[in-house]
Amino acid sequence: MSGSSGTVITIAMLCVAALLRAVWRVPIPLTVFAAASGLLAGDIWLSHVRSVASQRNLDRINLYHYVFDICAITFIIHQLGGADWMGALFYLFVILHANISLRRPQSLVVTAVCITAFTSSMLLAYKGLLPSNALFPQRRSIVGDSAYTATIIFSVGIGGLLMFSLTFGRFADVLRRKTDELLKANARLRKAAQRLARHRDDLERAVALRTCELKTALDHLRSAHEELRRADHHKTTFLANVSHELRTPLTSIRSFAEILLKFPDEEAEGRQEFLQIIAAESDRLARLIDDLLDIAKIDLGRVEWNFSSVELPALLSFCVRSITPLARDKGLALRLHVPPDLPAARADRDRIAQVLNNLLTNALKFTESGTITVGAAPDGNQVRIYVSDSGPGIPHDERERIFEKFHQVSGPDHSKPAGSGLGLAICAEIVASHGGRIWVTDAAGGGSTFQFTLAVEGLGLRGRRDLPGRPVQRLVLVTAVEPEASRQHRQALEQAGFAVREASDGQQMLRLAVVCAPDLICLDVLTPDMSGLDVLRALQASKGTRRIPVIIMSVMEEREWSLQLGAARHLAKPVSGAALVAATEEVLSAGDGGAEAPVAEDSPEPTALSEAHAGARDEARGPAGDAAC
Amino acid sequence: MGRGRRGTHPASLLRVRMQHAVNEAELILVADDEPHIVRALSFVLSKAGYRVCTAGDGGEALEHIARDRPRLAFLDLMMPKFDGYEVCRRVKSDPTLSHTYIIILTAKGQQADKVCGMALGADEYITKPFSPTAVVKQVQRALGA
Repeated sequence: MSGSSGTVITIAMLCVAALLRAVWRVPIPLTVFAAASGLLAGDIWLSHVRSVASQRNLDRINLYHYVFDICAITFIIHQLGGADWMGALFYLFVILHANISLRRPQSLVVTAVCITAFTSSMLLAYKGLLPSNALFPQRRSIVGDSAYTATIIFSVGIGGLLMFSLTFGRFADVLRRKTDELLKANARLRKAAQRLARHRDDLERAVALRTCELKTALDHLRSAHEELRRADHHKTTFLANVSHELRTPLTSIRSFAEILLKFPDEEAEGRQEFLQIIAAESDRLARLIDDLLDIAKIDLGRVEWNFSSVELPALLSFCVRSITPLARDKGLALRLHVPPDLPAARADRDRIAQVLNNLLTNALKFTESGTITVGAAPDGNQVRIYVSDSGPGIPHDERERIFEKFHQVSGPDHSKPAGSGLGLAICAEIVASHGGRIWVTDAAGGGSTFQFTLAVEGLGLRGRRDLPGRPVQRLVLVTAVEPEASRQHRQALEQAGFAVREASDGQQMLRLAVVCAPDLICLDVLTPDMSGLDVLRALQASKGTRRIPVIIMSVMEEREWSLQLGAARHLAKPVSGAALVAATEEVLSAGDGGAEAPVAEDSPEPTALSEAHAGARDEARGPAGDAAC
Repeated sequence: MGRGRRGTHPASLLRVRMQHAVNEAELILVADDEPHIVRALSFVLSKAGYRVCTAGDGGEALEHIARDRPRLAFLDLMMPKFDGYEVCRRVKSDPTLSHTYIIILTAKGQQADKVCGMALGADEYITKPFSPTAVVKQVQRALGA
């Protein structure tokens, strides 16, 4: 303790004073000793407390210390005024000790004040301006008690003011420091709150986006579920229909065979009639079985498609020639309209011939008089083929249903139709497998016009050759899942000079990829029937489509995965038209076919694509060119 | 009233005469939209001595039943206008016609269809393809000949 030396000195002084009084009879009053001891004790105690006090209490203790100092100063001055020099000296020592031990500027000021007071009062006493005192007992003050009182009050006042201002100054410092700290903390909190608000906004946006995607996925799932239910219902109905259709001619055959056996003596013409019925029904059954097998094969994807470049004029005129005799018998005229510069189509020749034969046979059956017209015309990057008749036409509400399996319309004389109801369904399946569309419209003059589209040969990686008079246009396949976005994409791509074909689901995309051999494919991950990534896998797994570069459009998290699966680019949704065009041109200019993607492992379940490219499979090819309806 | 069709064989003539004597008014309705089946059934039924009237759809069938009161009716299930079930239901819910013996003919052979048919009040259920002579035997049994 720094004050311990001072304390020792003060105690020594007290002892010296006691000695002075006792031995040399210096008139030091006892009250002085008492007061000095008291003050000293108080001071020692305060110093001790101060040394163990915390910072906060320190200020309060310093305050007490100052009060104590003032009391001591008052005593000194009183003693000085009261001519008690020894007492005054002792007090002075006490003060000095306390303040020196405190070692602060304020303490120095107080010390300076004390010394000044002491010195000045010594001088004043010497000059006789203060009342009598021990050192100079003869002098009498001419100033009197009022000066003495005034001095005391003045000193106390100055000291008090000094002390308070210093204390408050210190407090003010502390306050200012604390206030600064608070302000800084406040600023930090505000920044943190802003960051938090930004994070919350980001989070909300991410949640909204994810909810939107989930909703879309849910909608897709719902419609897929609906489709599955409908397909299941169709299958059940189909089976019931098939059962009925097969057993009906069989009943006739069996019944009449049995009749012929049981009634052997029936008239000849009766027997003839029954035998004819048996023959006709057997034929009907045979045709039905053929049609059923055909449609089942196409449905299951077990047909070996043989795509090539088909010259339509030759094919159309061949089909027309085949039915010319029948038309002549019925008195119908046949017309053929094929423009000379019609581009070749990419198709399976025999199957398209089957479609044409079906349509022509239907036209023949349902037209009693007039003309049947066959023609073709280019239609964008497709070719449209049509067969018009001058028959009774098809009611508007039946236009969709006639392509359903087993849908039959009664013959021209309202008799039971002789067909199986499967002809148009087979046509629809074949055209769909070519990536085209088939539909019926009203013909001028009351008949019907059946039309279907085929892709044009020559737009794509394979067989890239300049068609006469047409620049090579690059073909892009796009999945059209969200109407607004896909419209934008299509517009942007077409404006940039690409030919665009759209697929609305994964299966159709795979079919089109085989048929059209596009230069690039844009896949949306959220396709209705299968995930876009599954489509990508199927594309990569098949030799025919492996080299086509693919751009995937999806959310960010699947970037790594899609690139690993072999996509050339991954675009995060929402994708603008411009972004898509830029990515497309980038990928295509990076080299024909892009980088050779690693071969994905074979998927366990066969897809339509792998079936179509199966090469020599166990199923023999279906009857080519058989016309049945 | 009316005579049954005569066959040329003496045995069949005898059969016809006998049946004619026992049930001269046995009229049977055959309703099916498949003309060949109607032909086959009509032929064997006539040979067995019954009179036959035919219908090509459910509407005609109901008319014939109401007008000519056949003892027995063959109804195909899949007919235009009303199907076999509907005709059966209407006939069986009409007290004046409910005595008509109804045999349902169809290519549908599921258990559910049989139960459905029986629940509607049909008396018998035959699946196609059937043997016409066996059917005739069933008719004779049903009509108590």
